[in-house]
Amino acid sequence: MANTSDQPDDVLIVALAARDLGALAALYDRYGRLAYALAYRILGEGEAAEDVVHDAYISAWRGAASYRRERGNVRGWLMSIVHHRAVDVLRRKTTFRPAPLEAAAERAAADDTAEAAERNVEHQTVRAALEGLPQAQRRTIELAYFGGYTHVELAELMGVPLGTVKGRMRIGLQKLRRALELQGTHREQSR
Amino acid sequence: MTHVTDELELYALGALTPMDRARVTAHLSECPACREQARAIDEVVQELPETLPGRETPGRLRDRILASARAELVAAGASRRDPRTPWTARVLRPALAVAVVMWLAVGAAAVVNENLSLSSQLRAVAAERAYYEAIVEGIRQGGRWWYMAGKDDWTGSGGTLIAPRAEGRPPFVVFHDLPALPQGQLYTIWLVSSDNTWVRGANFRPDGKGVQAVDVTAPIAGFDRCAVTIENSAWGRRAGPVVMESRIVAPAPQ
Repeated sequence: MANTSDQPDDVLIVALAARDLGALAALYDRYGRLAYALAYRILGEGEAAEDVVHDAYISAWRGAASYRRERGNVRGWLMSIVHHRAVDVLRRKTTFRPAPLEAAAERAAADDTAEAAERNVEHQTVRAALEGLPQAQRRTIELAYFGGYTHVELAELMGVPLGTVKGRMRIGLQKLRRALELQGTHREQSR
Repeated sequence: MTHVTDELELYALGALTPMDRARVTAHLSECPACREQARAIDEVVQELPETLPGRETPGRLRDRILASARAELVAAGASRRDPRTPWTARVLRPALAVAVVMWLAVGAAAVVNENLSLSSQLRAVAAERAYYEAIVEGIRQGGRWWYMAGKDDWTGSGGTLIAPRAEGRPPFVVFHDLPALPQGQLYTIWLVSSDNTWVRGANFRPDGKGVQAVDVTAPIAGFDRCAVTIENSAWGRRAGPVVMESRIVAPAPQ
């Protein structure tokens, strides 16, 4: 591979399956920051986030051959691994769980303002689409995805029926999809 | 077949319990219609990390990931040479720092002294160095550890039981200078509880290296001693002599 870091994701994932360390390094350079931000947002603690990202990348290294293009792009596949691992760790370490809604909302608010200037247009666009949702839908989605709450826990925390939690997620994600499509940032399935 | 369309948002957001998640995963593996819907929802959910502010990654993280992957490559090669030994026992699980440093000081020279061509010598040194880099990397990851000094004929050998800090990683023991055993005998790592119950943690034979890492299959929580014996059987109760042991001290409460 002439210059690994310039290769598209689909090429890198094939190289990864062939045990190419350069491909692993390139995928880390490309998505490591996003992976760490996600793990940190879920766990709220640097060392645990680092361990999760490490384990996720090694898992990808071992399982690259199982990647299926038709099920999503490489970035989404990697983030999915990071997300699952981070939520697993969070659920095992119950002391990490934020005190219900207030603490989670405070943490989200702090993240809202941090380093905003560094975000590129794409980040801002996705963020704007999420912020455009009604608060109840947005909060339900954020607490599930970033807070690691199950739908049963969310129903209890928010004092609403399970069906309401499911409905908020469904409608919220549908609106998010439409907003992203309108804004033209919904990604192609490959870089 | 009961479809799972009602749960796909929960699935994509990670809001199902592990049991429900497994059930949905199983269904998706055999239902193209639900799988297509799940993929469409995943596309949206996978944008959520993009809403987060950028965060600098720890500088060491990249090196740590590459060191682990590199160690697996070396281990895979080692396993091909000796399929009897699990790769985890040959490589990844890190180690006793002193032994590593000692080996790094003298080991390379020992390898070069073998009757190999120059290129073979260099390759061998590089492989061995990667092996021990992986061990050093493991030490850097931290955790708790206890050293066991060899007794009697095993004086001069020893092992460090390491409980890694990282979630999901098994405890392991890094031995140094283990004597070879006669055919039919093996080393056994035991975890011993306060009521003197002995639980077999691993069986292994020395691989001839200066330093050897062996995973312990049982968690160490609830045990207050670790011991290594020489056994004639890979199962059953302890019968052989203890050649090294250590107390396992629980961490002080915070």
